[in-house]
Amino acid sequence: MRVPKRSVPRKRRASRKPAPLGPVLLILVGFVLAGLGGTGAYFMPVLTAFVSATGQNTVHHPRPGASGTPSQVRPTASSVPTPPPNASTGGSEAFTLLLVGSDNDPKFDGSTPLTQSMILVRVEPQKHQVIMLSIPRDLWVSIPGYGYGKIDEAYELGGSEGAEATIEQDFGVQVDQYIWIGLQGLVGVVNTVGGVDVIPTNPVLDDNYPNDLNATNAQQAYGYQRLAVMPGPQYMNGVQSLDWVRSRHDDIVGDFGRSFRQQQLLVALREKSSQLSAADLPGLVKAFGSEVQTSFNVAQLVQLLPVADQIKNSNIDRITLVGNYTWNSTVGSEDVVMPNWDLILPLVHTYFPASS
Amino acid sequence: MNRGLRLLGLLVLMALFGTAVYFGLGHFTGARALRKTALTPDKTHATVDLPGTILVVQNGTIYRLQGGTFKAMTAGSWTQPSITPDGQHLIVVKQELNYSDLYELSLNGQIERQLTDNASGTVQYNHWSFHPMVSAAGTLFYDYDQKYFLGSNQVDLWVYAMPLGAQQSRAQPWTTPNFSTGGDIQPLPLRSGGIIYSNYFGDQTTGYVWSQLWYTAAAGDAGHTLTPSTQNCASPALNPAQTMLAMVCLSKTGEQAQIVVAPLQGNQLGPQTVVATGMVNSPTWSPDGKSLLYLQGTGSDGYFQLYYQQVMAAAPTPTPSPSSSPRHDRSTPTPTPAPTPALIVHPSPPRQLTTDDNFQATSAPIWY
Repeated sequence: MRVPKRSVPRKRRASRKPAPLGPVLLILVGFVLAGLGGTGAYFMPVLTAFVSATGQNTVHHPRPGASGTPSQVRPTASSVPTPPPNASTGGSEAFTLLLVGSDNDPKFDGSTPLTQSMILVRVEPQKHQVIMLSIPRDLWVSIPGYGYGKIDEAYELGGSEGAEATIEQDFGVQVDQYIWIGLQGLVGVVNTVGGVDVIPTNPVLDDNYPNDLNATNAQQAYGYQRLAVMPGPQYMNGVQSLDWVRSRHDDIVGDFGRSFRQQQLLVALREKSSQLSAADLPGLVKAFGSEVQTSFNVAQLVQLLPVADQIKNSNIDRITLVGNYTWNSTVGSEDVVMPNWDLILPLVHTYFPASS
Repeated sequence: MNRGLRLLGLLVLMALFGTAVYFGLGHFTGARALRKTALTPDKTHATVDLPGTILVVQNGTIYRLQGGTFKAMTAGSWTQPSITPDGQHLIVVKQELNYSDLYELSLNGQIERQLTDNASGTVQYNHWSFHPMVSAAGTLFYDYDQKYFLGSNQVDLWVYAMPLGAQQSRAQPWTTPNFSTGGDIQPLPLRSGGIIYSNYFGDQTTGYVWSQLWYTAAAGDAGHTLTPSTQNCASPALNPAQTMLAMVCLSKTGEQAQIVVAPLQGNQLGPQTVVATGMVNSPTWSPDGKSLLYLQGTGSDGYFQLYYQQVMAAAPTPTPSPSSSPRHDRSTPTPTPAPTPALIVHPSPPRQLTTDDNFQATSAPIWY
């Protein structure tokens, strides 16, 4: 019997069963879910940590004295709380950030220690520009609700709200966001980005540098050590960076020298953080621990990462209130830095929009 | 049964995939790339085989580079080695938490003697000694923090000197630093008997602390400046003939550095030439005085690597003009040695010698 030539392939095709679509889809969905599960597990620390550390309210305080003369104000119902500013941060809109750092070693038992560093930062994403203004920690100002004192007490007395209120009242600048960072937080941030390249411009020597970073109780935290940082370009890890920007003794320009170093470190950190992506957030959050608090929410931080890449060092202006802007004085037995508001306010408002 | 096994296998595969995604996210992120661990130099090789011997410091260990290969010489907390003028010994700083001391080591890294004794059980009674250099006359110059008075927060480095190997009590200050600036550091002895050093001074108006190179002929001598006050220069290094000086000059805001070379004419600096820009530090001249070694922060990890750059070249030989050449000189020419060609500053592009190390940028290499 003669078999037609084309009958065999036809027969074979007819015998092949069509692949069942359902099980294939199920398998694919299973893999996608597994991948999402892995992604979720990876980002879980971010989600949990950010719930406690981020998205905290920023409260804007109306500025009572427009003349530049600080006045004493207690927090009242007239203080206008605003919701967390979605519009004032994001990826493209300019915003003003208050960056505060504290010695939160075991010597201090309160939850809000003195601030050793206070830097007002204006970020202009569209202009690719950043302005940093360091505020001397001993600046004698009016602290809303508490009277006159050193500005480093504002955070201790009123937390982040108190620090922001003091800035807004005395400097007439609206603070949109804040970040507070502790000692170990700074160490963790620098280590997480793999260290920084910095250029100490002079030898930093300190015979009374606190040896408290790893202290577990107040008694240990009162120890001290000597510090010697050689000048010139060099790589620093987290602890070395902290030592360099925290040392505050024996600087010819006083606390301004330390402010200058802190600004240098921020510029170096920006350089490194420009290479980070959203996938690095879990590592950063782990490094922060409870040593960072901020009003930014997760979405805003993710939006800001590419902004860091767009801003070049040459577009970062750094201001310290040296020279005629301040003078050293004493109040009672305290050494303080007195502000020359007539010069400070025009300078500040050149770069930072005045609060309404 | 088969179907159940297949299902189980698929579930295991899915779980493995999820786990891989978790670890993959952690592994291939930018931060991890930035945290690349540096290798110890003895696990790396230099890309160029330079003549002679080079010593560099990483993480307290001195490494010897010969024939393109690094070898650990001595481990601990060593930094800032220098070599004695006879080329037979090393003078090195051993830095601990609260003090540092100078030691004399053999070229193999064996401790021969301790030159200073700066340790104390009381934190503030400790001293620092840094940047040792021995002059041709056998005087040991170094930085030392003379105490103003105990309990004071003031601490600055002074340039001190004593005969090499003498009791430390014989050490005398050569300079008086500007208070609370960091002081006077990095003495560089000259054959004339004087020194070049880096001096720091503060400007209260701008809030900046500047550095400036100074020359001083003798202990306590007022001396004179070699660089302008606003050029922010330090870290001087002299070529073996002491005719060329390399230094590191910083931008005002401390974000960029340059290596600058200039001829040393008497006790003054001649015209300056920038040879390298970036995170550059600690230049050292080659034994033939034609090239520089220095350390530069590079790559996303930010670690400092060794760089080599030829900066001097032979000056073009002037072509004799035909009119000046004798046409009919039949006298027998007297053989004369070829004159050493004059060198001029002519920087070539730098070459990166290492890629995976993390050298201490504030410890200048030695090249002998």
